[in-house]
Amino acid sequence: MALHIINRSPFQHSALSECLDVISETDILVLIEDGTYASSKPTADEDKLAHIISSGRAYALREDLSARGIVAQTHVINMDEFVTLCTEHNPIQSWF
Amino acid sequence: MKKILFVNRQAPFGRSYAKESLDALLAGSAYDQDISVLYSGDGVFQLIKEQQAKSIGQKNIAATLPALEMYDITKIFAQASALNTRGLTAEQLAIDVKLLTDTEIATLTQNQDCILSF
Repeated sequence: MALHIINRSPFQHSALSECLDVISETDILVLIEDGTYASSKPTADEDKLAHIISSGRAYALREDLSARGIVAQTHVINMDEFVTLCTEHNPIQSWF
Repeated sequence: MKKILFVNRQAPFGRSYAKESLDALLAGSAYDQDISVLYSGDGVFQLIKEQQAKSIGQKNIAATLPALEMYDITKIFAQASALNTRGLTAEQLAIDVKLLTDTEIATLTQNQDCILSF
């Protein structure tokens, strides 16, 4: 199972949508930095992202959410949990 | 031997990613690993044959691509949907690449030990 890290806003960059095009059914998605803006509002990729969120495969970093004042619909994780997810998944792909 | 995938998602000249990816790729080929290369998203623009980067004071990225074969890098893939979206065809590309569907890219990704993103 792969882990995909997104650090760009879905409203300005295609990183998230390009990732959603090729993500597998068993992969997980971790939203960090400006990528966390995808965790609250639906985007153009609403359906795919909503599916990943509802199947419990989307995570967002607490520090980045609170810094931006975002309420996430994804799992919310701290840095330690992020590290744990990284150790549990392979390969890890960064989208920026 | 590790399976390593180089993913190129950026257009060639606006930033240094394309050049850095090639440098890493050629250097990495010396370590006898199982290397694959994927061009997706705007990364497919790196493959265009008719580049004349001299006009902006840079080197043609596409000119280096034929060298990959000499370095035993033969698993070179491009995202078919990215080419379509950008109005590109295989004939316009500097090297032979295997076109992959998004589903095939998902499988390729999952089969890797390590992914280097550029």
